[in-house]
Amino acid sequence: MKKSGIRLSVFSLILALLLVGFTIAATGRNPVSVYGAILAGSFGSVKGFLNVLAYMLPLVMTGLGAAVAFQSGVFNIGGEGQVLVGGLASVIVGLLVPFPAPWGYLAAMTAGFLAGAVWAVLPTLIAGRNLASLSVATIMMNSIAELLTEYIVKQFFQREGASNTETVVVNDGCILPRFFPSTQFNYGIFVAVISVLLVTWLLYKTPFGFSLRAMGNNPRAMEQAGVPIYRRTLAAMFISGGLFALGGSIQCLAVYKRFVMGFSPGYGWDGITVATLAANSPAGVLLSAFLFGMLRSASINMSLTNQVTTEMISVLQGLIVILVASPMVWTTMRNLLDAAKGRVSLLFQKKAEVDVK
Amino acid sequence: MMESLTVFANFFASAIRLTAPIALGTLACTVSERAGVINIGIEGTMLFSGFTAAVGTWYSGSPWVGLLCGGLGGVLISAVLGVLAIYCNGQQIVIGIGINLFAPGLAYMMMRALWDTTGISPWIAGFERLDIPVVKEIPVISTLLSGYPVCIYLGILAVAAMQFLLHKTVWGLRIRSVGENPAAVAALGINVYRLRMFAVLLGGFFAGMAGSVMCLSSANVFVNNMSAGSGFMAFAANQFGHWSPFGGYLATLLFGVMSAFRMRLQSLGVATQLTQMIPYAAVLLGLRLTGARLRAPAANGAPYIHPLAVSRVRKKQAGQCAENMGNTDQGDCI
Repeated sequence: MKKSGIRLSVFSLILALLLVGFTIAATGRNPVSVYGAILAGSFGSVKGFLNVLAYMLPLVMTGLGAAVAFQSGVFNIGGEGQVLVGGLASVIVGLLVPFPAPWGYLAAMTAGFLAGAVWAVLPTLIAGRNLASLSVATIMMNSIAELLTEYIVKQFFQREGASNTETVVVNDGCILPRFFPSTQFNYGIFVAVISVLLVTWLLYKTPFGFSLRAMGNNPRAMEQAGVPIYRRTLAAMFISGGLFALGGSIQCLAVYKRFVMGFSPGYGWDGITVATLAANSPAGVLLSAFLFGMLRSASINMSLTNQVTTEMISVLQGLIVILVASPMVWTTMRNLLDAAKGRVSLLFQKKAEVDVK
Repeated sequence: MMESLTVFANFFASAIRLTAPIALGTLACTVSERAGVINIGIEGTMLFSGFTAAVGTWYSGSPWVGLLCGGLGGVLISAVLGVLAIYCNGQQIVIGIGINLFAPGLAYMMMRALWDTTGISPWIAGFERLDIPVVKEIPVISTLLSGYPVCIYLGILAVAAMQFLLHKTVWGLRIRSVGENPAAVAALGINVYRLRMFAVLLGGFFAGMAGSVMCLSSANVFVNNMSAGSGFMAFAANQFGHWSPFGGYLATLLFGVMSAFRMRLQSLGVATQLTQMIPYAAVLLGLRLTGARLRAPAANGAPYIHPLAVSRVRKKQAGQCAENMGNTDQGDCI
């Protein structure tokens, strides 16, 4: 992550927090107490902190998925659908496969990865590399995924006597273990860390990753250089979709241990914000996922739900995405600041001159 | 014969009714993309303006005020897109995604403050059905042409007006050329930024109308996430209709027929989830069919940077450079 990128992200984050603060104040709450509650909820107790880490896990995966896609210049905004499909695929494997502990959940997560990857490749095959069409196609796949998972669960795996659409608990060997039974923090952290390392290696240390990043910067130049652009697009979508899906798998296998309709409060969209704030760098994803983990945990934590609402988080996310996408806001602000600074220093100079006289 | 005709007319009329918001949304996309600005934030814009329309109607009691408020809400949100994408050279698709997160969230926040609910607004007055005097007497034609809420007629009028304005007037020619080759338009002494901004704001007004129609034509209430992807469908319909208002309207009608077909299938006992997929699958099919022959406006999605703006920046940098070197002559630095 370049220095200018870090500055842009920090600036966007601060400005977005300020703007949301104003909105919170305008809707009749105290922004300081809201932000204070989020911080207290995350750092006030060990359990709260571990819960933040648990909420961070799916966000790391979806953030990585979005980062891979955006670095390759492919707009995969179908993350939400890939999360759902990935979660369902791993739960189905978890219900059907009787393997013992490590092999069970490994098999289930592999299935999740593959399902998500296929779910991302399908719209690419349909829409081609046209960015606008691809984004619409992936969004349509979101809606289809939601309906399809609901249909499959209702038709084949519905738990008897359950009021909402959900499956029964998966086999013991397929449950992703938690570190402590009282918090949701789980073995998914290994998956997340390994994925960050692997994606970093893939993007920055291999010729394949180089071609992906170069395609993101200048697809026409890569085409001239003889890189099969369409095939690279498919590959980027495959990897990105799989990573998105792993977010859903972790959440289903470790936290819920079953597939519950509506288990994702928008992890796919969160991933886009996480990646944007991290300037699409895999290491930065860890940091910004932690930040959004704090927000998500606050919005789900019962004692805070009255203060920190999901709408607030989506407003904040939207503002961050908008501000990072238009760096000229930052340049303009900096120029204004510079001008102000210049004027102030000029004032001091004049004052000094007067004093000398 | 007569009976099957009536069935067909009913089918078609429900298609028109279902797609009225999408048709206006498509028009919004068409106007702004013809000027070279991709507006994928249309979904969020429609939701936000649906909310402002509901608020306007709730306070005044008149759906006309609601329609105006909805339009203004749309203009407000697209102003964000316009300023950032046109004047700040931002990435249009990413800004659009941001708007889709931000605008509905803002609406729900305000809804919570105003009505202390996030799910559903109080009931509001909707538009009344308008029967066209002579047409309503003719048996089949009447179901096809008459009896829609007023705002649906307004939407169709808007489509026709924009078709004329875009293709038969000087202003339309300018809008279209600013989407194809902004540099050429600038060379003629026309302000590219202002023209694009106007197109985006006009598109925003149509998107706002789309949101209002969604609330005021039949539901008469604003519900959390009520657009359910129709903004994205509008976006796709615009491509399917080859960036022309009329073509876009035909494309939305096609999606509408699919939706009406869905309702038929549902009454036959096919699982709801499967039938609900039909419109989305239709959009995918549409993208597939047009994909190969797509010819988007050439400058679509590309920010325009005026040569003078570039040189101004360069001059400033040169000035700073000269300052750093301790002389006043900028010549060495340019």
